[in-house]
Amino acid sequence: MRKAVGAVRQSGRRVPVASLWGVVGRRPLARHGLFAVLVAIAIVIFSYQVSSYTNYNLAEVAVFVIAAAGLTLLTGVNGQISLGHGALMAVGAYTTALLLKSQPNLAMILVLLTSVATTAGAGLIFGVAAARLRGPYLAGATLALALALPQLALHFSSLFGGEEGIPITPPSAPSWLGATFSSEQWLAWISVVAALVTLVLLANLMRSWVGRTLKAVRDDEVAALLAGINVGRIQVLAFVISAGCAGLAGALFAYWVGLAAPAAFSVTLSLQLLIAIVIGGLGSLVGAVWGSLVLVMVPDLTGSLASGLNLPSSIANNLPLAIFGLVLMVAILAFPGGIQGGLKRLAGLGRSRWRQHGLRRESG
Amino acid sequence: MHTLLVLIIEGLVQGAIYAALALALVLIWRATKVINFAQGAMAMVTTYVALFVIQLGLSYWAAFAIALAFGFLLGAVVERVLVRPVESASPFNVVILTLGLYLFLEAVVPMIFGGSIRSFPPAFAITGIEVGKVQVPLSGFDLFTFGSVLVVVLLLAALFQRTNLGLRMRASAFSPEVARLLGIRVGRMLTTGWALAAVLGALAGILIAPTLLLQPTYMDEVFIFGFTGAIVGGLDSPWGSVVGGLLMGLVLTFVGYVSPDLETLAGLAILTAILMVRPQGLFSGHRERRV
Amino acid sequence: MLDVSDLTVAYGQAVALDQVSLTVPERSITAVLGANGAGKTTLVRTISGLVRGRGGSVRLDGLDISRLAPERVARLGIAHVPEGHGVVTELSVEENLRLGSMASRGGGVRQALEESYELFPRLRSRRRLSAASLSGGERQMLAIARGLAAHPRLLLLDEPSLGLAGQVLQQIMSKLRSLVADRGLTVLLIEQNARSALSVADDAVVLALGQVVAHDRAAKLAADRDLLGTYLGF
Ligand SMILES: Nc1ncnc2c1ncn2[C@@H]1O[C@H](COP(=O)(O)OP(=O)(O)O)[C@@H](O)[C@H]1O
Ligand SMILES: [Mg+2]
Repeated sequence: MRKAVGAVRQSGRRVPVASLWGVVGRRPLARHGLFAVLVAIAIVIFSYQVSSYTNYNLAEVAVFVIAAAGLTLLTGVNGQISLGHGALMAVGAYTTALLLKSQPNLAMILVLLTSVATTAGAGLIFGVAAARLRGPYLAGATLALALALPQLALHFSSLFGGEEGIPITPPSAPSWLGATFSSEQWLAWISVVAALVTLVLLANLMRSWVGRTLKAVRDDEVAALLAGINVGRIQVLAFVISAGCAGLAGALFAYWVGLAAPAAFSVTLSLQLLIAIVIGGLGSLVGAVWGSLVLVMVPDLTGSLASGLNLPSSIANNLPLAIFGLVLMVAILAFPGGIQGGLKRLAGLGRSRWRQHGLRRESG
Repeated sequence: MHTLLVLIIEGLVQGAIYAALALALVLIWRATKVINFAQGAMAMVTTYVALFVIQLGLSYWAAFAIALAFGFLLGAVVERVLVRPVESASPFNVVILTLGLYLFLEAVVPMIFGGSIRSFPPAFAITGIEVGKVQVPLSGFDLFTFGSVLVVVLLLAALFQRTNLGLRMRASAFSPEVARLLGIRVGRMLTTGWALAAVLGALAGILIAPTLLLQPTYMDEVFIFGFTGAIVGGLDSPWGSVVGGLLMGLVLTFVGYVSPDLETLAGLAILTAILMVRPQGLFSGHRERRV
Repeated sequence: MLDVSDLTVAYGQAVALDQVSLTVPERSITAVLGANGAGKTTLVRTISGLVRGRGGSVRLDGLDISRLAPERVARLGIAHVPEGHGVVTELSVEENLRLGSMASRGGGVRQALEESYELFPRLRSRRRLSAASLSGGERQMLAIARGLAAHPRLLLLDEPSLGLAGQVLQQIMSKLRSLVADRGLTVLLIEQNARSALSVADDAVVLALGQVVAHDRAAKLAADRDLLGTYLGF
């Protein structure tokens, strides 16, 4: 009884001081949303400070973040490996290209949403087909998808434009932003907003019952079945959501390249996405962001390093990839939990140091 | 009739290569439950080593032997240095590790040997053998390719089934803890498994090089079809992987004959179809989990 | 021969063995009794090196083996027949036995196989079959035979009675006794079933919640109704 009274009094005392944070802090959607708005503002400011090349890179990172975040849900949270997300991005990109070809003036938001829908549909078909596959068998089937889909584009070249692909006009910035506003910066804004929206939605999804169910299936399929979870359906759901993200990423990617062509959606792209989420920290959306940064920044840095060294071309051309491979191996060996895992460990270490320090001072 | 024969022979010879790679993947899978995505790249490295030896002026056979020996070493080193430390980590970590190795090797080799396309000599003539006056659609090199894969597969089977070393390796793969209780150095057995797998890969690499020509990425496709073969056969079944590899060779050759640009697509469609019916491959001993 | 002193083992925060000390004299059978979860399996797994202790030591004839890897321990002549038999079901019966004999210090494979089939004639007729086709009792026989095929100095048996018919168990126990007498075998016998274990053992240790609550001659403990009632549910 006394306990209950105490609780009431405590919560009663809290209400008057309820700041914006007090309300927001307790609702994940609002909290994540607020955080996303802050990040968006920061990036908008940042985008004015840097060159259009950096904005171009920024858009690329955002595109990777969207796809990697979707893959995080599938692979990290639900435990299903996919080596075929590049192909799903291709579905999004080609949807965008074909749509713009027939309706050049369609609003971009509609183009993006249609791409998401089509790719989610493709994910549904594939998810159902692959529902019984596990581990390496799923890896093999998704790898097949990654290889086969670009081939389709080549085979039906009258529709998909064959090797050359279908060109896309990049979106031009609205006039109220000024005449000097670059299309790179505009695309960066759009991509970053899309990435933040994706992250907020996924973060909330992961905290809901869907997220818990996905994790339960990953951790112990048999137990999940016994608990009455429809494992097949939840796995297909993960595929659909994840594919939807890949579709959005693919659409923006097509805008970013100005083209939907098979070469851009090679197996390498699929592998890069998987690499991003594991290096970043499997299962964490923040990790997906780290991983995407690594994916874009490391080759960029090593590329400029290699070209600055005056090396023979056979070495300079391959040095970035060699370093990337090496970084990958060393990173996995040194940080089994990825960047996010490593940071958490560091933070934990720091905190316990701090606590020990504090205790010693108190006792001393 | 003649065409059919040509296709079957070509398919089986191609299939033998895929089978060697598939078996390599299965050996590693059984030993360490890892798909080695660098298997093809490792075979590429050993073939470059062989080419280097040939260019030094040594014979094809010396290069052949050195490539296989180098493969053995490479496999052992990779297991010891890269795979062992992440043994207990998430399987995704090991996947990324082998992917990292794959990227690394494919970038380092052109830095050392140059990135241009090179020809690689076959061991025997690649024109059809003449029986009497008729030229049959089977070259000496075809025979050598199929025969050497067959011999190596049989030798491995004998090793695993008939020797104490093979028994120890199987026990280590199936039941590492029990194996350790029986005094078996499980780590050493797993290293040996990786090393033997890399020898198989090296064999595949050297046998397919004359046809595909040598360049850093030339094993990518072979790897993928070998992987597909292994999955079709079932990753737990060495014989299944050999059958799966041969099947891949036949199917791809036939489809390639009918419509060259559908080759890959058809091969992969077949894989998906088979997996939909048998999610663990054709010959996997494990029955599907039913709960 | 085996001296365990102050052995402490924990799984994370949970302490499974708390400063356990016991000795196993040469050429004898020592039973370790205790309820489910008392720490018996943990004890043998620590002795054979599968689990690392947090403190204390395990000595075999004075040599500290507590830091050795299981394969090293096995090659010092300690054979561990794990709980739930640990037969490799993917291998044939004979292959399992051959694996056991490989760890043998002396005596050929053929001799070891012959001894195994003599001990368990049932295994001889099934020697080419996959171990997966054996019944639970037959697997237990195979596991024990495999342990003995190593000609160990010290045999660790973790609940061998599980799945074995009483008659077969009797037979195995009398065989063990004769091996102790003839070949100088030493046995550490883990049992939940105290009655049969106490009847065959020379000494006995009773574990409860990771601690040694009694360590004495088996006959003495068998007469201690209080103790049996408290810890072993008699
Ligand atoms: N691998 C493990 N991880 C965590 N706890 C364990 C593990 N193995 C055993 N335990 C715990 O240690 C205690 C002793 O277990 P065990 O040695 O198996 O007992 P016994 O063999 O006497 O039944 C039990 O509380 C059990 O839950
Ligand atoms: Mg036990």
